[in-house]
Amino acid sequence: MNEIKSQHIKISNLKKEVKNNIGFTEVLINDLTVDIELEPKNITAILVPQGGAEMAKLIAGLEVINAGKIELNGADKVIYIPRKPSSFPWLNVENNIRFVLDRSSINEEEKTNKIKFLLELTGLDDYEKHFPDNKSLGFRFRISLARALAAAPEIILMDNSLDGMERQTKGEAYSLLKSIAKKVNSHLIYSTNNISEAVTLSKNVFVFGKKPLEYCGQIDLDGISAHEGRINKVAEVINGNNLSGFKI
Amino acid sequence: MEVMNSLKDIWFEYDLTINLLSSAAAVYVSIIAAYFITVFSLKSILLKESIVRKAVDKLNVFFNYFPYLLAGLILIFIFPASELTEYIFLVLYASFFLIAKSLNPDRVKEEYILAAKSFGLNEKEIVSQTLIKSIQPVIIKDIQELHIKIWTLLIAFELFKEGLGFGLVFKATLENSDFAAFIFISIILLCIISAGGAIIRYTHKKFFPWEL
Repeated sequence: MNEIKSQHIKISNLKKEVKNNIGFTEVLINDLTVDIELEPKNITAILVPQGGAEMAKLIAGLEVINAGKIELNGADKVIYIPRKPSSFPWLNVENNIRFVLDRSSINEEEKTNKIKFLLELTGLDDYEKHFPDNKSLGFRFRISLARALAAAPEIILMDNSLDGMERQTKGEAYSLLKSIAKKVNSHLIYSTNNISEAVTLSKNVFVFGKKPLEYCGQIDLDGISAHEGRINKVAEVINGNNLSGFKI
Repeated sequence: MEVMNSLKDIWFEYDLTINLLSSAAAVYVSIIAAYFITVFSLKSILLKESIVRKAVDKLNVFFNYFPYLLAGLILIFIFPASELTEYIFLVLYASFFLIAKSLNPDRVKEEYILAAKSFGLNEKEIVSQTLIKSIQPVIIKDIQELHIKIWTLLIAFELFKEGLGFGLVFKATLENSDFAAFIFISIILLCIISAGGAIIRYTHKKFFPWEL
């Protein structure tokens, strides 16, 4: 496996406006500049309050920006995993992964090996012929993750993708993501409004405050082992300790 | 035995085989044709704000005030004895019904589009490989709704036309005040509709089992 390089997402003078439902222009982001450093083999968390700009979509290039730029420092492949289940229910697990591999130039044998590897990596072995047509959010998330990894992207951006899962399923997903981050060459970014989730998944949290979105700072949680302590540290950084829009 | 004989008489007296086949063929051929027309047109309609999409929206408003049957009656007025008229009317109605329903924005799942975009699919591929696939079960559900509507419309349409059809048989039983035949034919119609409904449900379960 090649050594993973550290990666930066450089956001410069970013502006994002939307028209609200009565036709007025609402500024969600105004002149935002931030350098998000992605640590190799660790998950980076982006903490953004609910109801504001959708940072993950902007970084993934899925939303148009009004001004400024987002540079991914050479990363030409960013895969976005939405909040709601996005695995295709008309394809079984194997074919969901194959959907991505079929767009690459690798041969059939390599595809088969890669599918086997990804199924094992995401804990989906023995489920390759199952269809994601069920209510299990954990199962569907694993498929989305395996499919994202199949594209071998430099960055995988998860947009609050664990939201709505049951506690136990979420716990399993946390462990899975942490272990996968150590094993793959992709940088994993998790964008959320849940402080507890951000500090559970990552030691490297980038915090943004309320509308128009502003950068509050980066928090290195290395050395703080207590969960409560981590949450408090993040809360201190959020402007004026105003936690509206965040979940704890 | 007597009952069987009398049912046999009704069957031959009203020429049920040919009338039944004529109506059933019109209904099911129209549904199948409308399904393919819908899937084919959605591929281009969903891609952008096309003229077709605008036309469908406008027609939808128009048909809130203009009964579909009236359009059928106009066709009968022009071509009174043409069986083709029936097919044209039903295919147009069924296609319009399915396309108008499929354009409901709630039916487009943003997460599939975002995922597909993220994997680098172009607009055409997103529509054909994700959007059309994702709404297939809903189209089949719409066909279930369409099925009973199209039978009702067909019977009403055939009451006014000449030639063949179940509606004409109903008309004849009413004109003859033949209550027994009316009940017998109604039961046959219910059986056909139930069987058609079961086939549509089976198709949904077998080929498009996922939820939107």
